[in-house]
Amino acid sequence: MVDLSLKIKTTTFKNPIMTASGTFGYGDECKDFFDISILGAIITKSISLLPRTGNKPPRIYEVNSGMLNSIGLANVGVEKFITDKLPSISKYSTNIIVNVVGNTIEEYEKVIERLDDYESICGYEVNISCPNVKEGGLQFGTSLKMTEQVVKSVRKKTNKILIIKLTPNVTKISDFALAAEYEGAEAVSLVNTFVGMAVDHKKRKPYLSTITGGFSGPAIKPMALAKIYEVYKVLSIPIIGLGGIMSVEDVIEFFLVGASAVEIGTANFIYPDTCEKIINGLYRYFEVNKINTLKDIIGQLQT
Amino acid sequence: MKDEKCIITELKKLSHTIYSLKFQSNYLMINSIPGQFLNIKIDNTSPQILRRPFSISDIKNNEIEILFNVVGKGTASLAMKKEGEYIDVLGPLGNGFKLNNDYEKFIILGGGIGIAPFPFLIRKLNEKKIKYDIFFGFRNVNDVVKFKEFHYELSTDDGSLGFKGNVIELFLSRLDIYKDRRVKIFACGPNKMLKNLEKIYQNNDFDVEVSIESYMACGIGICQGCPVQSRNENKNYLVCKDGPCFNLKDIIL
Repeated sequence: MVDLSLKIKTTTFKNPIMTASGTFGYGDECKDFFDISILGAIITKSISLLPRTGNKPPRIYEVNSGMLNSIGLANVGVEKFITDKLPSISKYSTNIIVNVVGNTIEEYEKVIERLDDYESICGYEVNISCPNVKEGGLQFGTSLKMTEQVVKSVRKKTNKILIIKLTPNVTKISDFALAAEYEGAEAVSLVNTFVGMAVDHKKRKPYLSTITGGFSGPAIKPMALAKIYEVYKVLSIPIIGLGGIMSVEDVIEFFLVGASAVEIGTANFIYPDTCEKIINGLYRYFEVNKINTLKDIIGQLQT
Repeated sequence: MKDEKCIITELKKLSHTIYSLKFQSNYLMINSIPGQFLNIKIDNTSPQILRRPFSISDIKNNEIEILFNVVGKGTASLAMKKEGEYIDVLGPLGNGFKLNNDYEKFIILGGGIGIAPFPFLIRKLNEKKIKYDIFFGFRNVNDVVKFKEFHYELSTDDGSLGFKGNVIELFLSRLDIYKDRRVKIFACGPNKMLKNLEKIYQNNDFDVEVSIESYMACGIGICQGCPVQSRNENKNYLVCKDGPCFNLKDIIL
């Protein structure tokens, strides 16, 4: 009997498939394509204290086997999220993790304080790794000291699950994962997008309005696997892996290098029912290969 | 909206630069309205991973038609498709043209590949017995697409066929006919063309609805990649979900 469930803190996730922040809207936009309740968790787009209109277009540019984005954390802000979005996603029988972002540590704290009484929210993914905004985001995620401060501060505001979303745009990502663990996070998620750019040689101009953007899609999978492998060797808390996952086989590779769960991102833009296909495919893969639980495969890379 | 595999029934060139691709879908035939678009995954083997958005150009029986230019690698591989092959079609997406009845006449302005959404619109206007005039503009005679089913006034930038100038200049030369009449303009074409139209709109009382294009990934509002600025509020609309048809009074081009 295949059991795909996992537990983080006191919360049980029915399976390890989650939606990567920013690739699944507020959570129910894809309800016409599959039953959202089958997900291990919904991770919402980044929610900030105040609404954000995001960056100017062009915000999207496709590159070989991937894409660049520079959305700039466009979102309705925490108040509107609570009144307009949370009630409808709370109806689904899946775990809700709210991705939170701030320009300052105080803003991270305030967003979490505002959300913490809502029982339908089981935890937060703290975005300290967005490459597309001037303040917040990478400013925190590329400084070990700032990472420690953010995690320490938000930890004081909640007993719910804290997942720290790490950037790969650092020399040694495992130091950041260890800092998150030390300051009390229950899990880390990696990787956020790589900084990238695309140039129109005829016009001698960048394709994105912000010049550089976040690089995602299947092209980054080898780099994501290497980062997770590096972190798994030193970390005790669970790793939620992401970076270019398109198929069940990709998910298995992430488990083998040490991920306990995964997030599906860019693939949602291409096939909005990717998560459903992967969840069903994962059950089949486990059955066919006689794997009973996630423990039997996580970190089982033979080297 | 639905994601389905559709079989290609015809691919042909309508001019030196504009292709027509037809495929079958009962679902789209029943559920689509003029002005909506489709997000198409052309194949699963190339490094182009994203879908490509196309206006629904026409629907006749259960055959859906799109028109396209070859602009990059995605549309280049679409132009290489063969009858009997499949494409993955997500749609219908977005909001269509608003066909309210408060007008004496509709005016249709299409520039280049911006003619794409109009054959379907014209089919619906005919069904509803609504009056319209059509103006299409192309760069030169080689780009010109001919239609059997309706008549249109033609311009080419270089004057190699029809009126010499762009489609907005052609329309301006006929403007007197429409002064003080209750007309609504539907326009689609390059951003430059729509900006020229905006100037006319500001000097006249016309209601103008434009179909605009944007880079986008998902086509269903989750990637937030296709913003267009609201004219009246400090917010963005999304071309995919709130558009692609917008009233000019609502957006900043």
